[in-house]
Amino acid sequence: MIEIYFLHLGILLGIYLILSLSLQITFGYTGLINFGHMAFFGVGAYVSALLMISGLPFIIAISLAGVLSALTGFLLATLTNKLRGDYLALATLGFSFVVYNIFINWRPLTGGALGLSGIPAPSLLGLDFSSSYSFFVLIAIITLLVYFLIKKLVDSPLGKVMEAIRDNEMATNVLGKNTFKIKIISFSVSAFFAGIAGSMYAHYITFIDPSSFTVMQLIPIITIVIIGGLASLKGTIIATIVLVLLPEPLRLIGFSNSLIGPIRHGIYAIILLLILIYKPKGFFGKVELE
Amino acid sequence: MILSIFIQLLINSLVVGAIYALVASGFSLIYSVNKFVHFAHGATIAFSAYFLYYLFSVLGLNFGFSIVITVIFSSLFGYGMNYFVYGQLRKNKTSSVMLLVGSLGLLILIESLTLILFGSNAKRIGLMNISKGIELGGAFITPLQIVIIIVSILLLVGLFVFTKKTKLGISMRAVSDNESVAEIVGISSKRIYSWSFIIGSALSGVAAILIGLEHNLGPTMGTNLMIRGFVATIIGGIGSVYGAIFGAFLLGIVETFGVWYIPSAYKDAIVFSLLLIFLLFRPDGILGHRRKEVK
Amino acid sequence: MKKHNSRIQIIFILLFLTLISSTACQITPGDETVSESTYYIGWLGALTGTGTQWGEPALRAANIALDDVNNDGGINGKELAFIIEDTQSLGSITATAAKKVIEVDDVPIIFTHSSIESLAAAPIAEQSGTILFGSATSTPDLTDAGDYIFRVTPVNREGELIAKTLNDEGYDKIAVITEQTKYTTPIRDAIVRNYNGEIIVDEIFLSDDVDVRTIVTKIKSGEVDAVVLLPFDLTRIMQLIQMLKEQDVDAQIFGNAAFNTGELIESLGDSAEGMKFATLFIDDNDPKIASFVQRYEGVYGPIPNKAHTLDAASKIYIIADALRDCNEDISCVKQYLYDIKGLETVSGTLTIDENGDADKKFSLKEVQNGEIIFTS
Repeated sequence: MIEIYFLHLGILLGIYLILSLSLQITFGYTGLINFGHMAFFGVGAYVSALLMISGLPFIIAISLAGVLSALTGFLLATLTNKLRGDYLALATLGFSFVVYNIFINWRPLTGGALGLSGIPAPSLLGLDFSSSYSFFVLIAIITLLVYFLIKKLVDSPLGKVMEAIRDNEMATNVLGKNTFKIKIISFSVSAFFAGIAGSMYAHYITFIDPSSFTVMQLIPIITIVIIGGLASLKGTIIATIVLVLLPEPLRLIGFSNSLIGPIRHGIYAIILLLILIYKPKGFFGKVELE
Repeated sequence: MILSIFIQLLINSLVVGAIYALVASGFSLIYSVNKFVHFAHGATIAFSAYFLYYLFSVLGLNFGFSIVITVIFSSLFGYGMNYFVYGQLRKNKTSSVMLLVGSLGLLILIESLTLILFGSNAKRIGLMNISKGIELGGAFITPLQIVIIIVSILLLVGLFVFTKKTKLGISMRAVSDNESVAEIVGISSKRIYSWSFIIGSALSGVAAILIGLEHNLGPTMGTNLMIRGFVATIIGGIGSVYGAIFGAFLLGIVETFGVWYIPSAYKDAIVFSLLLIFLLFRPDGILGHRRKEVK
Repeated sequence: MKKHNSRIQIIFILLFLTLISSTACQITPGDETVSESTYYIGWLGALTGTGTQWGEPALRAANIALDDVNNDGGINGKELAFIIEDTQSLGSITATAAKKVIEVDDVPIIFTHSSIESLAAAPIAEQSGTILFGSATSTPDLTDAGDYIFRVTPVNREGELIAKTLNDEGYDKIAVITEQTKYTTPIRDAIVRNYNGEIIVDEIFLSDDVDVRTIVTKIKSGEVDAVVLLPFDLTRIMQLIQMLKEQDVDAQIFGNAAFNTGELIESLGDSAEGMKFATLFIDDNDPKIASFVQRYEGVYGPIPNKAHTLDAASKIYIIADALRDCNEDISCVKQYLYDIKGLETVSGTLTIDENGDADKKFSLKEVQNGEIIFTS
């Protein structure tokens, strides 16, 4: 049925949106170049999957997924506090590789390269969310909630301080703000939401393995954030819609799905480069990449 | 550990280290001149290796001819990346982080292109016949491995001579040390940027050929090598090409001997842990000088 | 300026939605599955990626069978057709593809051709009441996967067979090198359980790993009598054997079903001499089998992984017969599959047990004078 196809797109949209909005917290608002975002996504996915496979209810699985991802974010924040610019980017990238390596090597827990199959669908209050319709409703609600929470955060005084850190960390320090603590909050909250996205992803696809959590998968997210514009939630929403839907007409031309993957990534890469060259603020962004 | 095994591991380390050194030196040269992380360097290698595969294994062209074309191709490829992408980005007075993101975009673009053109199956450049290696104190080394070590050393020595003695090389060092002063003296930094890409990518072209012969080709080979390359650079000290070479051989030794003691699947874990340790505790590396941060 | 951009974006979005609607109409046969003219079944296999050597021949063989079925009247007058999805040997892609063919294309049956794909797709199939019929799927984990899950492959005993041969022929010290996949890992586990001697080297490497030289060094220093190689794809085998020869490792080489390819033996030349490997048993003298093999080789050249490729074809005939007999009723087809006992197929005699598993033998083969011959 055709409607399932649309629902599928909608669900993907939701997951990408949560990932992109959560990346905005660190990247757009706090000015932290975080290439390790996929690590949070992956931790959330594996935690949620493993907990539900061992029989725990969904509500616990997804909550712990968020919490453990947040802890991962906390860890990364602590490790990289003193780093800036290039070095921060490289360290977060390195972190992402280390976490990927843990996924692939900790076979007794994560199944290693073999992955986890048969991940159960979510169920809340006796309702089973295994059909595409119900899953779409669930993720729509969660996405809206995430959006409102993040919007509240960035509009709050805390959000303003984060932006101050982005614009001039030294000055913010001098003015008496504990930038270390705020960066920790920024990373942890961003990771928390990414973990939620990971949980939804795991329960939707029902199969996860480390290949879904590499830096390659981060490129669409970074592209979305930059195109939409740093520190613009509205821009992120629009960019997500455009970028997720953009490669779909490729199916029309009849490409096999092993080609669609690289073509998608290629398109994203080209768009990213074009935006960086011609419109570095993105479409709705307030600031440029520093 | 008995001597013959030690020698074998040493030989393995040298071979691996030599390849890493070629990658790292090219990468470091580009970094020290251009002052940003050129991630797409790994993609140059991967694409060049596949290019060689295409010329030699698919089209069936003469091998010597193919490798010459491949090296020329790599240099042009690097030049093209600089001209079409980085050059444009520079026009906007962008920060090094923006260039880094741009290079990540380039890396993904090239990797995707490789996947589209060649598919994701492993490929093999079947040049050498299967035969026993040459014995050396109980260990074995193949002719190809000897070639790798010799070629790398020759190129690295050549690089050394180039940077110390030739006008272009000295100009590169000048730009690397202090760009504004170099410009005052009349060196065109734009020209130097281009040349750094040409030479750095040519080195990676040679690396691509050697790696392609020694191992199978795979779509992720570029990223893997790039990571090794910049870990080597970080260890040796960012900004120092000699440091990168030193770091590369050190990495080769640690990786090879490390895997001897622990399961081989943890090889990457060793590399990344080294990266993190150095980035967090000794970002200047062993021999390097830190780029001046302007924030 | 901002408003201007917003408007452009909205126009973009509307355009995309229109494009996508038209795309959706094109890609799904959707309601056509109940059309009068075609009966669709999902076909999931690795057409790119590490599993191509398994998936590609399987599709070819399946297509030959498909033509036969359609030339024979199809399914009660309807044409039988595949909706083909390339799984790239990745579980996550397989799961997405399975979801798509089951939920969007509404197929009642899906075919899979490898352990990783069957495992990834099984929960989705079982949950939606779709029959999954697998080949080249020997993982023990599929036995309890569900009521709708069937396969023409027996649970893997390549490991037991190799271990038995090692024990019987007196190999005291061995090395076991395994690629980390759903198919090969159980083989290694079986060897560890059943082999009586000493396993000096036990290495598991990742499919992505390009440099395996240190593993070979470990093998050499272990001074083993036999090396058991359990890879998933051909280029990997060649790489390992080449390195073993370069470092002058003199041990007997044992392999798994991946070795059962004429192309490999040819490329290895003399180095392949004396190699032994375990694979599914195929009676080359059976006329039904021989004639199908001849037809395949007439078009495509030497048939790789003979038993597995033939299995892929046999499924088509079986399902076609089931659909015809049952008038397309799925619960009837399910029962038909459970009732299969001693059926003659193009890949040998087939019996399916109460778990949906097949009951077939494994055999040991050896390379002699450049030819693969059957030994036990």
